[in-house]
Amino acid sequence: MGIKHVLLVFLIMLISTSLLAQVDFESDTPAPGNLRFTWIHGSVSAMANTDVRIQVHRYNEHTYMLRQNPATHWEAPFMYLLMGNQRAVLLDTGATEEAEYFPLRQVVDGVLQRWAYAQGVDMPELVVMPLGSDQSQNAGIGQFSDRPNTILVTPDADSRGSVLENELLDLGGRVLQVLPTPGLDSAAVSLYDAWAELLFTGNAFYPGRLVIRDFPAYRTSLQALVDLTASQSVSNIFGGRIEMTEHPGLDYRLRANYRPDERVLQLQTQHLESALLAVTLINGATDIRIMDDFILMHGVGRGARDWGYPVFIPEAFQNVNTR
Amino acid sequence: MKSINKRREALQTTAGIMLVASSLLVFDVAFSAFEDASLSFPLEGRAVGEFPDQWIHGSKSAMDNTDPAVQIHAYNDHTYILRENKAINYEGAFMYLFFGNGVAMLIDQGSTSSPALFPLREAVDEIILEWETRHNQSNIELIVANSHLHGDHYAAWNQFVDRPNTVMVGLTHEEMMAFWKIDNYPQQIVTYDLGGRELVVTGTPGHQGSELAIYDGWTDLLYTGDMFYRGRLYLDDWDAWVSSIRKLRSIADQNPVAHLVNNHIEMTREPGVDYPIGTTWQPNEPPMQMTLNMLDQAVEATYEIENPGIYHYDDFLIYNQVPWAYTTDP
Repeated sequence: MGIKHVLLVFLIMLISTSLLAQVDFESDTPAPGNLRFTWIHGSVSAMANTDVRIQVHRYNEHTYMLRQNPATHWEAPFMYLLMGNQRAVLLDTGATEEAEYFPLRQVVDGVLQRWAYAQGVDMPELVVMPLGSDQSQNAGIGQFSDRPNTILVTPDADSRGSVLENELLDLGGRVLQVLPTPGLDSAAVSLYDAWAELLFTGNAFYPGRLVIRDFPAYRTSLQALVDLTASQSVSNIFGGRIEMTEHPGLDYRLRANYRPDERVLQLQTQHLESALLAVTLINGATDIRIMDDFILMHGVGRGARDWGYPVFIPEAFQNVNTR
Repeated sequence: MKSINKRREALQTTAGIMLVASSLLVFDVAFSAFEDASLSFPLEGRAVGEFPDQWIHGSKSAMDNTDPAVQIHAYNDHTYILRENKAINYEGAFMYLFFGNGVAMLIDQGSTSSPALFPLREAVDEIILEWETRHNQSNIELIVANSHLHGDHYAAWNQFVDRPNTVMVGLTHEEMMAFWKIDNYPQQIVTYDLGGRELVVTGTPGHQGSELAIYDGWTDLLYTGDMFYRGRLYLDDWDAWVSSIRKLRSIADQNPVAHLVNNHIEMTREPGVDYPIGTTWQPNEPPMQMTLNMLDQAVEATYEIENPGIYHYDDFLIYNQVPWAYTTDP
């Protein structure tokens, strides 16, 4: 073997090392993902809870899912951390401000550091982006205010406009499509990740009580999501929280901080289709539609439908015996 | 010589036995006399007591709560009020322990069964032991009773079933009435002698069909359980509640009342505004005890309300035939 060969091998090694650092997000086949596990779901006595404050799950190499412990806040929201070649984005920031109770920044930093080390790259820039204006999506954003190399995107058009180009969020190779999905929350957006074939709907669509505040807007939003799933493949829809039990149509009481037998988080495209159908049937009337995997409510408050009673609308007050 | 010695010995022994016996007798008489004198619960006058400035009221993050599982508060020497930590169960239920001569009565047992999570029996045993030492009594009886039959008030009942020297009143309407000797529920008003402490007991249905109210003439406390407290009064049976509230008013007319005490705090300090159901942190709670003015307001409500629905009053909300899980969340 001559010196020429040695140099060639060295050159190939050099090229492949530099290639390692650049992930190709342009694949035709869906990125794999793993959901074979159970989310932490609180305990009989929250005071005696010994779970982690934030559960971290690696869905795939560049996609992490986080859940806040219900024993720190009953909303127990989900957060998502997606990495690309240039940037990472944190979708939603949890329901608790204090790092002492809910160390979101510390956990995100830990995940990013390990990821960067494993990929052989520097710490990426971080975009922190709540998908809506709900308290359970924005409370933890303050923890990132003095973090270096970080862009905070508050849930309004101006702030979002500063990081989006043509409604696209480019993480470097991994491009996320952003759709406004108002109806429950006027500031809500959803994100489609073509690489992992994931749709992140935040609090606009999740297995729980969907309280419609602006009916025409929500119908339009669901139609837009259904249209998107017609042209793009979606393997899972990830929302911002879980309020349903594994029993069809049965939800947990508001503020329940112990939820054994929770329904799984992920929804599929057929759920979007049935939601659109139910919304079409509601047609702007005051109504509660109980579906197996979510509950649509229009014209009533969030507490009008609660655990243990199939339907509740104020008219039902007239029933003489409630038990 | 030998016989004399023997006789002297016998005499000494007899004297010794008599000495010991008589001293025992004297001690016993003195002790029982002391015991009788120590605990009397006269109806005249008022045995005063104190409420804490703030009850334990949960915490922002429930898993970071460092309060005791059961708060023990001595209202006075013979009256204890206990509260379950809201970080264990959001109900934050109150429980009461009344002492008489040779007997204690525990009313209600909280919302959590597990002794590991909610060691109610341990807390009660500790109070009783300390009370026995302080008042030179021993091995007193414990009566485990209930204000009404709802799960957030009897969950830890199981912790007492194997406790020695304990009377379990029972968790059925029949057992409760048999214990209190009420044979005409809810009209009948009975008096119960708790070791010299007279309790006036009567049926107060409306929230639940076996509920009782208790008036303690010694402290002048009127205990109204779940049918009247600072919170959402969930009423299954409106007509029964109307009669119950008016009966409480007439009991209060005939007896002096220091405070109305009860089972929950669900109101904020802002008039007519409640902490929503399931709240595990109530940083600025109003006091638990209520006044006769509030009872008057409830009596007024019995004349005003005609239909099912939610009615807001300054110090309580009336959920007339509205499901308990219905909330006013926007």
